[in-house]
Amino acid sequence: MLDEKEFLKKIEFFVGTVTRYGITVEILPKASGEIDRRLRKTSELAALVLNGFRESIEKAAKAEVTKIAVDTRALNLIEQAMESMAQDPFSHVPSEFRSRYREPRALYRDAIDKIRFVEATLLLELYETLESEKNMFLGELFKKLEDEITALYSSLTDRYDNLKLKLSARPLKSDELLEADARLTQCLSIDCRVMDPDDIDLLREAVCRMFKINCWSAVVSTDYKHMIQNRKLISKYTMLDVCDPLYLLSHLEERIGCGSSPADEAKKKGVTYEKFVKFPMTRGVV
Amino acid sequence: MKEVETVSPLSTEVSPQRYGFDTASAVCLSTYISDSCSRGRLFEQATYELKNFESFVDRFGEDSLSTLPIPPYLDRRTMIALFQKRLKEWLTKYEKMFEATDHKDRKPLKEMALRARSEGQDGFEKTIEYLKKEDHFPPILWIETGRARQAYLDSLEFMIKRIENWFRLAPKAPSDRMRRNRLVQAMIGPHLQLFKAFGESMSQFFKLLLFIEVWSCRNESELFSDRPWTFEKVDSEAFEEVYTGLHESLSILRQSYFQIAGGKLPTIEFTRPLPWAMRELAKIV
Repeated sequence: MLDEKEFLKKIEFFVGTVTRYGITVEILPKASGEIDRRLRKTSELAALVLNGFRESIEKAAKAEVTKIAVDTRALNLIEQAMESMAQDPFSHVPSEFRSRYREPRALYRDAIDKIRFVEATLLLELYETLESEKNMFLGELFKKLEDEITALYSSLTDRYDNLKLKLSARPLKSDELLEADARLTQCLSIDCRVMDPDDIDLLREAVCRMFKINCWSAVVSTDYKHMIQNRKLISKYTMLDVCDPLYLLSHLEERIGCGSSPADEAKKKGVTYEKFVKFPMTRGVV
Repeated sequence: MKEVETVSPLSTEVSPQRYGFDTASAVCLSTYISDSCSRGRLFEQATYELKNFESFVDRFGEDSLSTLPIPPYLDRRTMIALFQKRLKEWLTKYEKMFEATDHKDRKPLKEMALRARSEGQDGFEKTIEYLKKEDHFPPILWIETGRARQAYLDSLEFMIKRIENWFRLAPKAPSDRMRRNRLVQAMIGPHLQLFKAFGESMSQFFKLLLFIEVWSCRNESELFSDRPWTFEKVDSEAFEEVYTGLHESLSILRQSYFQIAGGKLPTIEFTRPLPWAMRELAKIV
């Protein structure tokens, strides 16, 4: 979605594999929630920080941005605004937009970094306006950037929606998974050595979905350090495959080739998956 | 400093309810036309009677209000009754247009669809500007409204072209009416998914506007009046529910648009300042 060169080829290959072989693609609640959250938070943060610049500039200039022309004085005002925002970055980067650092200095640096990306955008746009010799007020520049934030948010969500369409991918609801037992979390973090809590959540959902439908499933990831590196352990303890998109087909072929379902295979290999997931009580006559 | 003219700030003379309702009524009009096509009622004179449009909007609103998360101090039945009362006043602006529309004449029918588009576009823009100007609203509100506007305009553009073609089938003789209606109904078949997704997402957008209106009021006497909108009393969980409903319905609409209308993805130049900054921010939020 973000045109990152390192993923582009792999995604293309993955789309090709899935469409050619008719592989069912499902998006786990954790994954779709994370994509939506990131798209939303990025746009909201850019808008909030931009508004912070507007307020700081107006305070420094004692005038509304709609009355401040785009010129070298405006450049100084942005610099002043950045300095004033740096004194209290957390009032411009609310808690829900902060990273999970515990150390205050790292948290401060993180907030400053986020503000500086917007500062750079504002300045680069300002320089472009100066070069073009267009007469413009700062208010118009702010409006242009706000419109661009909306357009970009729409375009990025469009890219995501289009990718889902290409893959015929269906986002899953949490009631389409079995309920996980605390022992599954323990198994993933201790036996499978998965450290990141978000990755544990994702893998837990994948295991719960696989045993709900009792069909061989694989989590496709490009994250080597946290996910793929532990794939053998994850497969050994949970029967779930984790792989790079380029290996998906060979992994699935191998699994399907064994001729049994994940539940049967788990029993054969002594994986007590019943401990990991809670099966719903079936009604019956006693 | 350069000598340049002062930019006039956004006019605040009109209440947000007006912007909101202008958008909502245009959205309802578009949905009403698309609904008439899919029901095989495009060439029924009854479709072009204001009272039928009123009862459509009435149902549209009632459906949204009956499931809308509301503040505990408001009574749902009173709220629905008040909405229906105000509805008649709001829709009087369409009186003349409906009176002038004849199901046998395709020109006024097309004008109706075009009016829905231009009023919707204008309403969306004014609503966005209002939400942006009042900084107590969360930015996602105007950002998602911007996405809804894009989805509305793109889908409507495609739908109007189809509807324009179907209007050409307007029956010349009364005996031909039923057959022509059924013909339109059949022709809408391949596009039905888009028309349905359009109706659903516009109903979710309508719900969002009603949500802001309802949570801006301290008591029932303030409902659907000209009181400014506020986000101070909003329950964040309730907002998330309404926001998610709109976000997901827009995603379904966009997928239908790409699939059925063959909509093209806009290119993003990540070398430009804002896309570059957003990409970097996306990695660290």
